[in-house]
Amino acid sequence: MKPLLEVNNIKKYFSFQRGILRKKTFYLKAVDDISFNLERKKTLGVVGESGCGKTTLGKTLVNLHKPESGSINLNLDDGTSIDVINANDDEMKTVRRTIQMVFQDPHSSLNPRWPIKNIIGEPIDILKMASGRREKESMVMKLLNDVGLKPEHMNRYPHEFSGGQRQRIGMARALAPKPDIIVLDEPTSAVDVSVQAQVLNLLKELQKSKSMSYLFISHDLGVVHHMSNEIAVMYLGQVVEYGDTDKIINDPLHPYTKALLSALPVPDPEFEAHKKRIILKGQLPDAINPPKGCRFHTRCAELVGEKCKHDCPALKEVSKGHKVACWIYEE
Amino acid sequence: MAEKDVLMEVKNLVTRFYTEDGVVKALEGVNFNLYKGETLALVGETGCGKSVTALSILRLLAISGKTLEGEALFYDDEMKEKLGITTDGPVDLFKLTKKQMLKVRGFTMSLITQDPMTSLNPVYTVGEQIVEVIKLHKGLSDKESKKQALKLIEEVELTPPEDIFIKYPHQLSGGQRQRIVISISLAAEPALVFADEPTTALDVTIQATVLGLLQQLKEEFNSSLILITHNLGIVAETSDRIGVMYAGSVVELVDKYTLFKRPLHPYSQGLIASVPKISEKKETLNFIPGNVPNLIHPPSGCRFHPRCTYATDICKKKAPELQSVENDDHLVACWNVKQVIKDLDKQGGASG
Ligand SMILES: Nc1ncnc2c1ncn2[C@@H]1O[C@H](COP(=O)(O)OP(=O)(O)OP(=O)(O)O)[C@@H](O)[C@H]1O
Ligand SMILES: Nc1ncnc2c1ncn2[C@@H]1O[C@H](COP(=O)(O)OP(=O)(O)OP(=O)(O)O)[C@@H](O)[C@H]1O
Ligand code: SF4
Ligand SMILES: [Mg+2]
Ligand SMILES: [Mg+2]
Repeated sequence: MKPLLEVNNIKKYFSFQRGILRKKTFYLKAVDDISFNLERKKTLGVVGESGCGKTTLGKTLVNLHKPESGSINLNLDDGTSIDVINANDDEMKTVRRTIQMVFQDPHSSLNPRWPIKNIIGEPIDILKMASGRREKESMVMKLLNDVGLKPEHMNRYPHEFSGGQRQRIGMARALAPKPDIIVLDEPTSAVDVSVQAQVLNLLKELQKSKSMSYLFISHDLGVVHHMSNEIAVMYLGQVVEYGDTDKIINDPLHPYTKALLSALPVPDPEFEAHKKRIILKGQLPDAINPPKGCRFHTRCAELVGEKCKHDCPALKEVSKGHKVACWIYEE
Repeated sequence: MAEKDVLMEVKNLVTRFYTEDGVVKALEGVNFNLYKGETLALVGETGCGKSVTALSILRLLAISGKTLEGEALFYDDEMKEKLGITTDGPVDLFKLTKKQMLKVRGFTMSLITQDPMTSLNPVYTVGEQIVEVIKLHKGLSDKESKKQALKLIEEVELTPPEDIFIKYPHQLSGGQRQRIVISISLAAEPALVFADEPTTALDVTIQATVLGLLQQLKEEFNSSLILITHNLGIVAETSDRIGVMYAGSVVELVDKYTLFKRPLHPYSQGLIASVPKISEKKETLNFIPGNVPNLIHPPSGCRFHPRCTYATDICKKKAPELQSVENDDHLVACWNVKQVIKDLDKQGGASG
């Protein structure tokens, strides 16, 4: 069977103009040639520094951004495939239903003036899933129940809920159209650890009971490790390493992955004590003018030679299921 | 830790806020000691009193707040010298005059917060602000002070220092501002630094730099650091000991390895077990049922009792004190800690 979602060479550029007298158009390559497959009932974790393009990637998958080029194919269980980028209206409906997203900030992504039954009911309306008000309300109540909230709270407003509860509301909304894929953008960054544990448990339970795949975006390595089957490491709009979670965590290959792992504090003192610390010099380069050659070469501790400065290495498989884009592994 | 000299003993801090909704019983007997040159992390859920503990000791509470009881005994000869105190023994910060306390905050203690703008003056360049501290602290000339300020800016990896020196705070990024605040701390060579969520607003790589700088500050001047954060990863990486706070008091105090491996307070056990760890992959994470209590009407006795699986009658009646268990360096405030230990030993030592 084909993977549920096949993403090939997608690019998402933001253009804007700079200059006072003579306006010049610049391109910010937020997602620049990314490919991966998302398998059924699996979780792909996405990690990388702030601004590397994680959210943009997620939004492109749910069609909030139209990519410049590349293809996204959705292979449904009934054997049909949809070319997401060139989908017609009918197909688009299926795509919207099948791929959902829970947004990074639960405060700003929920309309404060709506009671939560409207927030959760909106996708039900848009996709015309209920035959009437009655059915819609009973669907909303069931969804609230699924995410561990009290159905009788459906007339309350977002501000009446805690951070963890708001995450659940966002989740209920995403679950409404019975999706096969959910993009989860930093779903627990705004909550306490004990609340985080509840949200992560819930996500895992729902994934099992509803047979869903996740694209899981997070800064927290422990959390990504806990949630993901595979991990993609992003740097300046590109995937520089991709592979099984354990491989990436225990045997990282790309110099950036190594540095990132060493910079991310892990809640495990013994692990921390043995960790090799690699200092990543400088900040993420300007995405409008990314370095030539390997985009990481300006900060790389292992820089192998002139090649790194001039030619961009491609993502290549070095062992089964483990891919890396770095000249060190190019033979 | 090279030596185990005590820098500060905090005893039985009780702090209240008087609000329209009622009296917020924010701190209910906070106790801990702090060694010279160590990093003590304070952790716990939002609202448990971490920031209020720091602000109480610094005597920087909002007007509605008052520390009703408690002592903060400071053992630092240099501070005594600066304040002109000649009596023997430690100095209780709560007994100092406002003027003395102002000096203490200038020289002996500093506070780094999540929002560096709160510690910077928007109308002076960052260079002027660093120079000011150096002049006050070391009594150097303008020229000498400027030279040192440039050196400090370079030390916090902001380059070129001459360019940064003439910038106003708003002209810098969040990470750059935070580093300026740290360089001001470096200039004062404080005995104690409070860092309250110093990296929450920063990116992982800048976070690593800032944490590295705090570490350096500690090593260079043998300063002590009280690190307040939600992030147990940062705690595991940078602290020596950890104080776990729950609803206004420290419920467990021990070195970080022990806390992550063998937490003994039922709340700490829940907290540690809820963190996903890299060394062991579990299908489901533990969590603490129930909610953080309302501090206007906090639970009686041990404030954790409504959420605790070990709770017995006495827990509802009387608050347990922080006491040593297993060894002198492991302090726990729980009536039923013996039972907790029994259960742990049955399971074979490890917990969580
Ligand atoms: N709508 C937009 N218009 C222009 N630029 C954008 C837009 N959205 C994102 N960007 C830019 O694209 C780049 C990638 O941003 P993105 O939000 O995807 O990063 P991220 O990896 O999710 O970061 P974070 O971890 O901070 O959430 C950044 O340089 C950002 O400034
Ligand atoms: N100025 C104030 N007025 C009234 N109550 C306050 C004030 N400052 C703090 N509190 C209360 O005191 C308690 C402790 O607050 P504190 O800020 O110390 O929590 P914290 O542990 O630092 O939490 P966080 O992790 O969210 O920063 C909370 O219940 C809080 O609501
Ligand atoms: S004192 Fe009682 S209620 Fe408090 S933690 Fe111990 S057993 Fe639980
Ligand atoms: Mg993002
Ligand atoms: Mg706080």
